[in-house]
Amino acid sequence: MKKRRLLRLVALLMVFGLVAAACGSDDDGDDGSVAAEEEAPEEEAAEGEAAPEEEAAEEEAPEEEAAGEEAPEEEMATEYDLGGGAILDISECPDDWDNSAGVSDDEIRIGITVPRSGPLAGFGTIADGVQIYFDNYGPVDGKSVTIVDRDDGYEAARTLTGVEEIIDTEDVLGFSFIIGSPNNAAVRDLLNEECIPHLWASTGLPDWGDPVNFPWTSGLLTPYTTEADIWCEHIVQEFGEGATVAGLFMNNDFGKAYQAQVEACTAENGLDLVENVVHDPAAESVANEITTLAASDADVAILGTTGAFCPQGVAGVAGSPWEPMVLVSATCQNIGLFWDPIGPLAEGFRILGTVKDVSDPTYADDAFVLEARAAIEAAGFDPAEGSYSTGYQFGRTLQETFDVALALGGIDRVNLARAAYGLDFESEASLPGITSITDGSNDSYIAEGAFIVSFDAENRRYVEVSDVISFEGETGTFGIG
Amino acid sequence: MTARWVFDEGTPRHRSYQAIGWGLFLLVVILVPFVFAETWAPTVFGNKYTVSLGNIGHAVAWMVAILGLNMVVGYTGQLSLGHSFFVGSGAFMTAILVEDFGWPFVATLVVVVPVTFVIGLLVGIPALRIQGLYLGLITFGLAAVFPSIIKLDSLADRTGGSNGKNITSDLVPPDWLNLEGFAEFFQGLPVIGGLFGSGGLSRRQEEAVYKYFLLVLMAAVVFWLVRNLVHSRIGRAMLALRDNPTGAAVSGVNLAAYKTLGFGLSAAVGGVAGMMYAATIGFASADEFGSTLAIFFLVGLIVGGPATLTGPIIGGLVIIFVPVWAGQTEEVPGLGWDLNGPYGSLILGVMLIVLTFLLPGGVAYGLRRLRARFVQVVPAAPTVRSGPAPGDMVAEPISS
Repeated sequence: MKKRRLLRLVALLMVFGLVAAACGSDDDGDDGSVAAEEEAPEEEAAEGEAAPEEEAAEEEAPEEEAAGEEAPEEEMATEYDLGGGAILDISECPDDWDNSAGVSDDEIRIGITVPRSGPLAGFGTIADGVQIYFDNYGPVDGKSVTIVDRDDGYEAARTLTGVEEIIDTEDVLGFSFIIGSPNNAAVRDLLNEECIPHLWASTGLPDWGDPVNFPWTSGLLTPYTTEADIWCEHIVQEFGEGATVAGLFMNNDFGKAYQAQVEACTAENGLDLVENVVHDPAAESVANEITTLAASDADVAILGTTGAFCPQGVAGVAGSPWEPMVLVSATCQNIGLFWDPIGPLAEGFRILGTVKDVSDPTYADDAFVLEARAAIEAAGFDPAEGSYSTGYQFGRTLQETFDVALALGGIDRVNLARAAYGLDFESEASLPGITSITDGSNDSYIAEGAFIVSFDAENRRYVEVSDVISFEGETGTFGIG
Repeated sequence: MTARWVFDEGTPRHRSYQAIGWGLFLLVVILVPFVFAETWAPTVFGNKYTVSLGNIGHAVAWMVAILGLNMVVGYTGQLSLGHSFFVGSGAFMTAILVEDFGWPFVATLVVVVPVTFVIGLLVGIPALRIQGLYLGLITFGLAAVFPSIIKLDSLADRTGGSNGKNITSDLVPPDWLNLEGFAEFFQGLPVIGGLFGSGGLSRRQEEAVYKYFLLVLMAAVVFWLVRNLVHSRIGRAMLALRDNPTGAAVSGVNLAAYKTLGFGLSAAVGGVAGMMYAATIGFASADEFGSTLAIFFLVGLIVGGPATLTGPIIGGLVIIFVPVWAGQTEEVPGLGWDLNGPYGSLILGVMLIVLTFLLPGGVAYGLRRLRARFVQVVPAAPTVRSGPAPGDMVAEPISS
């Protein structure tokens, strides 16, 4: 009896303790919800402005109007049109926001977080590659470019603490090339609230091309949805309408982005999606799923998955009597990582080709490849190893962004964000014929075109098997394609 | 071996010794955010090691998480490899309640604590029949499936699927709290003022400092509650159950009830840790709460010191800062290694092995032994009494 009473009392005590704790910090609770309420109209305002050109101040809370009026028509406008009605509104930026933070007389500082530890540590050297690019390129606007990096181990929480740490202590102009979808999702709100450029998120989720809601954020890689469209186009080119397709997709946002778009584009192009299976990201192998696909005997196999599942799937198909054309996710481009382990079994699969592989003999004499190899070697690394060359190629896009910002009136946060949605160039890092164009919410994606390439296992290289397939300007903006 | 200072428990001398100890600890706790708000980063051998408030807040949340694990592993002696499940549940419940329903962070505990407590009880039921490695396997399964559960289609609208859930609401310091004033005071101090940076606090720093104090306060409350619990009848029953189940049963301890209760309480504390995580990070991602985190918690507990209260504090700092600092170590003098890689986990693994040999019982026991060389507290003779048990005394203010 006594024991039960004791238990009850302890339980009661804990409940009281919790209630006391909850009430004790009522202030912050209220503050929290006020902050949330204040943020809500911010988004509405942005959406409202998208259609008609209204004054942002009209929709703001009254006490903020004063703040809005303090800043007007001095030397800076408060709103910038990114194109297509996407507005960069700086009237909501924090009071201590500094448009030219991170730019000194002789230095421009850009932050990045990459996985230098954990299962994806191989991507960590992208940060070094970007630095090598700028060391080799020389000063931008008379200033050297410094890349400030943090290891996030591909954990979104560490990306966030790393980014906060960089903002608070490293005095950066903006961030670029943060790797991973959850990682970018974790910092997108923060960077947009703080009005800090969040350039070239290095993931293919379509979410990053959303300048109406997140004008400070831009995405670098071909969106998975566009990739699926390119596959469909290629299938029609190769087999004509009525071809049969069997797809395997990873059961997460990444795989489902492929799946939804493959379902849509096969229907649009008169293709027949005869088999459509998903696999668990934590599965040991996809052998069973490949058997299911093989039973369909379709003309085309699509592997909308990544990591070890790419070589597993390709090897599985090669080992079966089924002989389809195999299309693999562009995330599995790295030859050494994915395709060397299965050797000749990898022969002939097809994948998106967008950039010049620095170890591909086809481009051995290409000026950009020569320059990249020389710069990476000069820095003491092997161009064929790690992701230095990827970082180097990324660097070219950032340099172009700086150049456009400079043309807009100087390198600062606003111009950098505007430049990201106003690019128009052909990167020497890309395969010839691929354009890199953005225009606010008219065209929110920089990478919309690609070749289809086929893998030559003997020579360890990709061979182009199609002309450039481009959806340049057709993808529109996030949610509206 | 005689200690240098000997105190008799309960004497004024002993109390002032305790007061000085706690005072120093409190001083450190208060000074830390002001030192690191400006992120003072020591440089060793050309490597810059940062200690940001974000990481400290993260570590405080994990201290509470490890404390929860401690209740099952340390005090009740059951192997649990699924603690990340409870912490993750707490984090996602908080994220959803705050983001979608506009609750204040702390109020979410009203839901988080009972729900995780019940989940814990349910998990505790198999523990009645299954022991040791098999229990470890079952709980490990929990940790392994958590990310998949969060990513289920039917839940993805609420949980954010594999992208994770963002919390846009911030903890903003109330106006009456003049953190800026404190910072300027510390910065103005002679000699050590430089440690605290200069120019007051920015809005973000002020927020970070405020968050830190809120988290530390919450952690202190949880540690205090657990401390009282461990010293109560329930705590003694748990220890008895761990050390000698048969003896405990003979002495009238209901083994089944206490085992499940241990899991329930552990999960509830884990849920609080999840809430703290959500409050400090402002983001919850499914993959963070997988089996790796569960193992990190266990490593933190073993390195820190199981069945102690200092152990989880040390453990929380270790599992956050070892990987962070390992990533910032780019050069070790005399070694021509390229130190970019998964060295954080390697160092944690080595620590685990080395400490098992050198300091069985963890860093907390090591510290205790070290202290025993200098300080000896002679316990007061127990007073025989027929009054209420210590647990009842804790509860008295409420019952009266």
